[in-house]
Amino acid sequence: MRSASVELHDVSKSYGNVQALHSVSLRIERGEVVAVLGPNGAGKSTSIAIMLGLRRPTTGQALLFGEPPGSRRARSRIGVMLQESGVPPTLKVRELIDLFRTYYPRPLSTEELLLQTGLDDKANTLLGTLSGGQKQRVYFALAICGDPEVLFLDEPTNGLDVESRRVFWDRIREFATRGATIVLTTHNLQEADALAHRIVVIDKGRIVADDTPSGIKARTAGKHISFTTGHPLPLGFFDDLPLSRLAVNESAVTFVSSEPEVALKRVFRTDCTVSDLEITAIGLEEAVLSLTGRNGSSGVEASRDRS
Amino acid sequence: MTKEVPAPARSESLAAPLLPMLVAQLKAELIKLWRVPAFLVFSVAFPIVLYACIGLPRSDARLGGVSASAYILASLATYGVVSVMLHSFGNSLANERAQRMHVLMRATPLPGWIHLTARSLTAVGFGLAVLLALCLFGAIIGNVDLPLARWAVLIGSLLLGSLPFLTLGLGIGYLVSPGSAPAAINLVLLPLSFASGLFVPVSQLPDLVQRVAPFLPTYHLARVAWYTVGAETPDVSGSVLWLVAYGVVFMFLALRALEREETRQFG
Repeated sequence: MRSASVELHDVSKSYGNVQALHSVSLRIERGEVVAVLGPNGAGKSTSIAIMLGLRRPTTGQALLFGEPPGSRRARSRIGVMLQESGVPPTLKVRELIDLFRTYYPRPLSTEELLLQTGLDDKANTLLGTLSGGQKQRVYFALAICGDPEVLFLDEPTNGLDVESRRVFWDRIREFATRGATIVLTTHNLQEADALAHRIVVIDKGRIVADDTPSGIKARTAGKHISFTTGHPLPLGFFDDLPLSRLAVNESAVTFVSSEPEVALKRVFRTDCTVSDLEITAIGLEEAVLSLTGRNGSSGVEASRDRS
Repeated sequence: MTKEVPAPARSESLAAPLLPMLVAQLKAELIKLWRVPAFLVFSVAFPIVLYACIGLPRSDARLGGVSASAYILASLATYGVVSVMLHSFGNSLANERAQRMHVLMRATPLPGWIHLTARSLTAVGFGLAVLLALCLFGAIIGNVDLPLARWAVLIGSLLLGSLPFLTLGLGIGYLVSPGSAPAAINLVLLPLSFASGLFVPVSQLPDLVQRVAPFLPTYHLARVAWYTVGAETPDVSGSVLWLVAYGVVFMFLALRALEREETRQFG
C-alpha cells in the first residue's frame, strides 16, 4: 500500500503543564492541499512541528511517507516555511538559495526559483536589507527549492498586506499545480478557502472539524442576531427554526442562524415591539465555537486570552 | 533495515551528496562572518593593532630570554586565536538562534554535524588568517627572526591548542541569550587574557593574579607559544595536559548546553 504523505497517529503533546495537543489523528494523502485552521494558540504550529519531526510527540506517532519525520531521506522530500524564521542578514538572496539547493538531491534551478518568487531583481541584495514581504518570498523560495513532494507552510501570509497576500496565494496555487501535497496553517478562513481542498479545524489542541471548504462554510456561515422585545416571547417560540445557541433572557434574545430572515419574520409577525436589533457576521473565533458547540461567551474569552 | 521499502519513483538519489553540502556550507559560513565588521575589527584587526602599539616600540628590549617583540608576538597570537575561536563560534550560533534560523535549518536535510564541521572549519580558517597576518607583521615590521619551521610550529600548535576554546564558544553560544553573546564572550575572554599575561607579562602582574594564572587555559596555551618562540619556559608538556583537560571540561559544558537547547527547542 502506498503510504500517505503525512500521518499523525493519536498524537498528544504537552509542554510542562500545558497540553497543546490531545490525541490528534490525521492522514494527509499525496496531492492533497490541506489547510489547518484555528485561532492563535490552538495547536497548529505544534502539529506542524510534530509532522516535521522538529518536536517529539509526548505520546503517539508522526510519519512522513511512512517514515520517521526526522530522517534525512524524508526531509529530502519536503519543503518547509516556518513562522518567524530568520535569515542570515549578511548573505545575499542568491547565496542563501544556492546554499539551500545543495541540501536537496534534485533542486530547482536558482534562476527558476528567483523568477517564480519574484526575487529576480533582488538576487544580489543582502538579506538583512529586505522588507518583510520580500523576506517572506525568500522563505518561500527556500521551501520549494528542493522541488518537494510535500510543502509545509506555517502561517505563510502572516503579516502581509492584502495585496501581497493575494500574490502569495497565486504562488502557492502555481506550485500546487506540480502535484505536490501542501499543508498550510492559517487563522484566516478566507485563506483556507482560497487555497485548500480540505480544511482541518483545530481548537484547543483537538480537531473539531475536517471537511471540504464548502462543508466548513456551510457549518459556519451564520449570522449572530440579538434584539430586545417589548415583552417576553412565549416558550418554544423558535422551536422548529434552523438556529443555534439560542439564549432568551427575559426580553433579550440572541441566537445564531444561517437564515436569520426566517426567524425574524416570525418575530415581526407578532404584535411585540422589537428594539436594539443587531445582525453581525460570525468571525472565525465564533465559527470555530459553533463547530465545537461550546458555550459562546466563555469560549470566546478563552480564545482571546490565548491570542 | 528489515522493513521492505518499495522502490521509489525517483530512485537515482534519495538524498543530496554530503561533500558539496559541506563545501557550500563552509563557503556560506565564511562569507557570513567576513561581512560582519565588528568581528573583523575586534577579532582579526585588533591583535595586530595591539601588537603595533605594545610590541613594536620595545623591539630592542628583552622578555623571558627572547626579544620583547617575539615574546609579545607569541602572547598576542595566543590572544588573537582564542578570540577568533570564541567569537566566530559564539556569535554565529547566537545570531542564528536570535533569527530562529536554526529551527528552519533543522527541518532541512542538512545533517547537524555538517553544519558544526563547517562552523569549526570557519573558525579555524579565520584563526589561521589572524595568525598568518600577525606573524607576517611580526617578521617584517617587528624584526622577529625565527626559522620557517618555527613559524609553522607556532601557528600549528596555536591552532590545535585553541580547539578547546572552540567548544567553549559553542557552549557560550548556546547558554547565553542571543543578544548578549558578544558581551558574554568578552567577559570571559578579556579577564582570562589579562590574567594569563597576554597583555602584560605575567611577572609584571599583581601577586594574586600571578598565583591564579597557572590555572587558566589561556596561560597554558600562551606557554606553548612562548616556548615555541624560544622564551625560557620550563617544560611545556604539563601545559599540554592542562589544555587537554580544559578541552574535556569545555566539551562537557558544550554538550550540556546543547542538550538543554534540544529539550527546550525541539523536545
